[in-house]
Amino acid sequence: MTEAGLIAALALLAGVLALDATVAFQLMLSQPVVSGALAGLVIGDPGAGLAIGAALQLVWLGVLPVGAAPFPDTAVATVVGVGVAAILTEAGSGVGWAIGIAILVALLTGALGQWLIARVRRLNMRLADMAIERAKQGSGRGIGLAVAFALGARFAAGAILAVVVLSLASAVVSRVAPVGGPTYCPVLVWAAPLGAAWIVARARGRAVWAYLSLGVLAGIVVTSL
Amino acid sequence: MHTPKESGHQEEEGRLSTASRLAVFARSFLLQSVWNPRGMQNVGFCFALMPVAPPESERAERAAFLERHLKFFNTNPTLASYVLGATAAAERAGRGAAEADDLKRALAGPLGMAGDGLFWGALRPFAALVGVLGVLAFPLYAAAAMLAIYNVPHVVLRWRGIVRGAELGGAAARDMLGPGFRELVSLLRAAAAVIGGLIVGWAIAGAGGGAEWRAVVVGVYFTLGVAAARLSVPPTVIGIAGAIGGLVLMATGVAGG
Repeated sequence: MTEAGLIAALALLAGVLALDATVAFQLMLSQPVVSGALAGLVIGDPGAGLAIGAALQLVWLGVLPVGAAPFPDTAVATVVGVGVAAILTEAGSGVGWAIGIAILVALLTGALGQWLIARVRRLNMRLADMAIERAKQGSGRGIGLAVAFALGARFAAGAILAVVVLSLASAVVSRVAPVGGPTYCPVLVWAAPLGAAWIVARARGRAVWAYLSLGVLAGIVVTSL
Repeated sequence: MHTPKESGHQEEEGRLSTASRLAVFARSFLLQSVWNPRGMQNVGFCFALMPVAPPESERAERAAFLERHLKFFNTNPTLASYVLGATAAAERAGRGAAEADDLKRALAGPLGMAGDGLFWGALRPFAALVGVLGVLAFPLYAAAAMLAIYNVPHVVLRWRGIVRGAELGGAAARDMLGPGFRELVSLLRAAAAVIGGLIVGWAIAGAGGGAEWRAVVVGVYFTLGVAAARLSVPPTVIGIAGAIGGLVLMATGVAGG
């Protein structure tokens, strides 16, 4: 697949997965592990997709798309991250740098996506007003139209964000990318404690420390076997 | 008042046919499609109820139906199906104008708290951590396991909400908040903590370079992460700092390989 084709395929995937976060279905397809696995299949490297997805999942474990609370665009960010890793690997970067830089770009993309989601939700306010105006005349068509436009806007926002960041990465990041380097990226070393920190921070009782410690000991024992 | 016969549905008043239930159920997945800061889920709620709306020939009744269901509405998106089921049954029985607002008020709050606690606060982190553990232990099935753990209860409860909401009306929240609900949430949270610990243990003792430093690095990140979370620093900001730190660790050879 050419790089333009890869960017187009990833943008399409990003747009579809972006819908899942709140707008449609909410089947967890927009969660980083799932989005990463799917994007990994697109670039032909499921392992990289899962590694990036796992790190982002741990960072964003506490992200709750509830009510008016702002939330990062996790699906688009993950797909973009996996695409950036593919671009960097193609440019000659070792796996360590490719995945490490890709995660950083993904997190920044998530923040940009958060800003875009707020804009789309403001557009939804106009769509809702339009639906209410039409409803006063007994027409339900405004509701169907509002739903269709809102889905289209959210898809477009996700896909366009993916195209812009991936095109920038293709033009800039790959030229300044480090060549070679580590063949292993220690994402778990920093992402796992951040995930565990969220579990402890939002827990009410002290029992969480016992459960967490039990898990840590079991993890060390099992991994050392 | 529109009757079931006039609106084209073969169902008794007050009882939802399987076709109506399925139509409302399918549309409930778009409840948040037009989420907006003013009415929140209002347009999606009305969209989901359209299968039980009066026909277009009854313009005044249809306008009144649309007006009462385009008012502000917000609750947990999965358990909103209970409100949809109860409201759809009231509309079918011709009691929509009298009861819809009270039903929504009675159900949205308790179901919102229950659903957010169960789905967002317990089941989603648990499924997500199983997914991350899966990436380490059984990568081929990680995403599938995560999707199955979350979506089996999610889709079952969405459907059950339509059915039980129609049967129980304003008392539908009891179906969710019965005995064992709190224990289930606590169990899922405890399991999530154990799995989170397993992943941290894996990070300390797993493969890769810098084994002698890893426990220290994990401890430092954990301490900073708890402090940042308690200070309500957004997770993305904490993550960016973590990712930059990860690159520094790799560049200095402390971790990576």
